[in-house]
Amino acid sequence: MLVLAAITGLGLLTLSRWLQQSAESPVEIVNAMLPQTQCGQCGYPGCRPYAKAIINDEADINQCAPGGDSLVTALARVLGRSTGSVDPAFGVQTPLSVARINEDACIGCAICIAACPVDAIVGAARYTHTVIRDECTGCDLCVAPCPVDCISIEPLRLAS
Amino acid sequence: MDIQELYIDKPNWGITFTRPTASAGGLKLRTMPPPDDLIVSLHQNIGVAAEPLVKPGDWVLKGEPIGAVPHGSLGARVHAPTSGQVITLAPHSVPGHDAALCVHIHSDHEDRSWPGYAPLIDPLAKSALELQAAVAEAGIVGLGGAQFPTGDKLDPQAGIRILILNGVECEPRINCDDALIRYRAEEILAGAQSMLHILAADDCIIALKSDTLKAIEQIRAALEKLGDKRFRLALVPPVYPAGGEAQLVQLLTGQEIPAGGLPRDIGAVCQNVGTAAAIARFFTTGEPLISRIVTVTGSGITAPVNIEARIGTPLNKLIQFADGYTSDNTQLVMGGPMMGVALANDSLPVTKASNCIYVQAAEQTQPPPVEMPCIRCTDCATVCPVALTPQLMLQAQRTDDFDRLQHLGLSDCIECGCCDYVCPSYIPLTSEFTRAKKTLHNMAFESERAIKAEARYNARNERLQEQAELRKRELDAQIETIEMPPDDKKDALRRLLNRADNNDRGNSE
Repeated sequence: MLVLAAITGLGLLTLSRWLQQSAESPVEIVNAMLPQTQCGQCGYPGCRPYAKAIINDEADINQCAPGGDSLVTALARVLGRSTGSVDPAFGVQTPLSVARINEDACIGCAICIAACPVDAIVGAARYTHTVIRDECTGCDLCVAPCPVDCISIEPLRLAS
Repeated sequence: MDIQELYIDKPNWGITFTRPTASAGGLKLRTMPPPDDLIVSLHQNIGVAAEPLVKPGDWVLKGEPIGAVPHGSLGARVHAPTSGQVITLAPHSVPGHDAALCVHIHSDHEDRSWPGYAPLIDPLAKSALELQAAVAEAGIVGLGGAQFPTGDKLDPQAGIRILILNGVECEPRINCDDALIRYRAEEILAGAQSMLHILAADDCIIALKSDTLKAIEQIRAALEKLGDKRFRLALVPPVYPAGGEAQLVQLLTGQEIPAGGLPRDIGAVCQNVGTAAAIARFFTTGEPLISRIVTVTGSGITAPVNIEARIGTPLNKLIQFADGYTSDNTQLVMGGPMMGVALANDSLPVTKASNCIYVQAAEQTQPPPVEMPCIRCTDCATVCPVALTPQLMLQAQRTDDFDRLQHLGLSDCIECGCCDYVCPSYIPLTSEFTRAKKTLHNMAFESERAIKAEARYNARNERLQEQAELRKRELDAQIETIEMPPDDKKDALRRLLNRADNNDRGNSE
């Protein structure tokens, strides 16, 4: 009887210590693995909403195109689900890229500024806009709204 | 004067090559005149590329500055290796860079010197900062292969206590430092004295391989002549890779550099003997770094020799000076057989990092052996000079377990190739680790971007929410100030609005 009590007590102690250690919520953990492109290709308005959807079993782990197949594998490992590759219905993985505004063509309408999920475009109404390359995630959301089609996406060469 | 000598124990790591290395006897040193055309890279250093100071059509003199360091960046100046005309300023393939901006100079065969640098009459009477600036002005970088800007490495304020002169050329077949020591020992020591002055240190160890007898003889004679009590001589057992910076510092001082750290973290600076000689040459003659000694050797070279060549000399001209190839089918390697990098062709130029051109005749090379599974013999861990466990690292690399790879110390791997050499299954361990390092580097880069992007995304959402709340508050306040019409007027208004609504619906249907 005493032994049983001791074992239960030890078990509870271990559990509480484990819970304390994993103070990070599951959503935080999944969000930290996502590429933070905030592109919306997964169907959710940003990476954190998608992470929440994964944890709530509303979305599958293979919907993030920028994360690629390696993300699916990593998520599968962490969440104990079966691995696979990115569902092509949600897009394909493209190399790391950034947006570039053709400043000669820009009319200063500020629509792209509103579209950028990470505020990587600098400019004001009727002033030329430009993309801050260091902050741009290459998510592509600014390209379509531009009324003069002056935004292009270029690959970012990683230093070797 | 009795030269203080350090006895260094043979380390329990690394490889002792049983075939006698070239440096036991030593290849001769010949000086090659500048060729007709020189391709001088503007990126011959760790850090950023130099900005060009010349344009096509300009005439330059030997030693004239042609590249300057962008303000506030880490870099090194570049100088014209001979007098002539700048033909083009264009990207060119050089060893180590697919496309570096290069200055193509066509020699006028007169080799006239630029008068802008006067010899420093008494360098030790100048201040440490003046000498440090002079070293940077001369475009001097670490000539052991790493090309770190020497002016930045010799920091008077780093609290350096010991200077180590690295003459331990441990890679087999490479011979250029040995030749420098045999022919120019006094220049090396003079440069070392300037280095000690800049660092405000008074302890210098000159390290040589214990089997390079001629070089030891020359250094001993030079030390006797100099009579500087601050210098000690260390004879290091000829184990590869004892000449690696971290390995040598540990062997000589007994202290291990902390992981991810530098020798300066334990008060030491390690410089190649060639770097010291380059400093002495600039101070005594005013000639900046425009040439270096390159070992040209291998079964594919007719007359292996050490050549003092101008920076920018095309390799095919260099090899011609060594009496050409022995065979039509050769493989060129920049560096030695352990850590060398294969070159695509021989039109690439000599850079400040070119210590050796190792050419193998195809008839003498064997096809690469077939890789077999790992048998867990741990010979790789036994030889590793950094005490890593390549066996476990390979497992982690092949299962994409990057966390484990980091934990096992991948970033401390010096890519020396010892594990490759001893592996009985012929697993190409070093190239796996080089690849893994690149992947990890890219992952770290992406991770940094992701963290920044998330922060900006959250900040933007907060801003939009604040703006929405502000608008709502303003709107509410406005509504408060509106005077409400009396009830009968309200009814009339309501009827009007309903009629307008119905009309709208009628129109839309």
